[in-house]
Amino acid sequence: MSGISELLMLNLLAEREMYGYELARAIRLTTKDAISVGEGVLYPALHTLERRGWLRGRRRVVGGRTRVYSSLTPAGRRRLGTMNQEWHRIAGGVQAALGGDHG
Amino acid sequence: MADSNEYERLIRGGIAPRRARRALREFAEHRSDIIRERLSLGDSAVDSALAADTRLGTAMVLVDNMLASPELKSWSRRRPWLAFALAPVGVFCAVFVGLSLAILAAVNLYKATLGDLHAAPSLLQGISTGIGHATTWGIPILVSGAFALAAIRRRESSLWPVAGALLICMIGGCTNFDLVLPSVSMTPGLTIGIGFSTEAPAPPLSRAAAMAFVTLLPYLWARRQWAGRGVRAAE
Repeated sequence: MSGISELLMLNLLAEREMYGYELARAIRLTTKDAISVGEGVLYPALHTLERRGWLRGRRRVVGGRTRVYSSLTPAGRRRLGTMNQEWHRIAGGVQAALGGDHG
Repeated sequence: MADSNEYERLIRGGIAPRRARRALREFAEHRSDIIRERLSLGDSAVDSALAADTRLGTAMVLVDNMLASPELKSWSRRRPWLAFALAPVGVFCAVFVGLSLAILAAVNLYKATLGDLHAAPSLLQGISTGIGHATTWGIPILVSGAFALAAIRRRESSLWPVAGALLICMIGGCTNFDLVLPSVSMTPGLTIGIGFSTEAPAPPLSRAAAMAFVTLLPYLWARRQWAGRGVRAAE
């Protein structure tokens, strides 16, 4: 699983619990299709994050259909905090480098 | 099951049955969500199905991705010796001791609350013997059978389940259980133990062999049936 898809998934699921289709849609909408996470690989990724203890799945019946809603665990929130810090550090470095190129 | 090929591949790859079923169900739900989305936008049924296949890929892609992640392998696949050889022995010992203590507590409670049993000694003897046989024969067979069934469901190789069943049968063959039910003249008592005498090795060994026969024969037969079914599904 790429770090970016993991970061995106954890960030979106930190806002509210979602099921797979909703999450795929949210990724497309929030990134304006700039980042595409293959919808077929979403489930192995969700199961892996769950296995690591960062997500929990909760089964709910909505409109007669059973959905598994994923949400962050406390460990997942800690992991997200670390990843966000790391992302900002890297993004800041890249930005500085690009700014230097153009400056 | 519509996804039996994919299910078999996941199970044989070491994914736990519950996780495999859930992933395939989520995948199928996701596909029907995409089709609904496309239909609501005015696409034809054929185009909607095509769009779903393009966005999701086939279930085989899902299976490949699940199998590529070592973290998704069940703990029993990663440590089969623990799951199918040592854990059953632990469970057997816990159930044997727990049930024995529960029987003794029930007998003592009965005596304390309702007084002595006024039943014929032969009846009490029969009940005691029945409980003893159910404990010394039933528990080893049921515990090893339950773990053998779990091994079949998870398509585990037979090495560790057979080793676990043999261990339980060996220990089970050496257990003894003597329950004295309370009566007017007798005090309730329970003697449980495990032992093997070199002077009389035949009784425990023959009991162990009989239990192994009762457990392993159906297991190996069922395993063969499931294996054949799995191969047909994967073809």
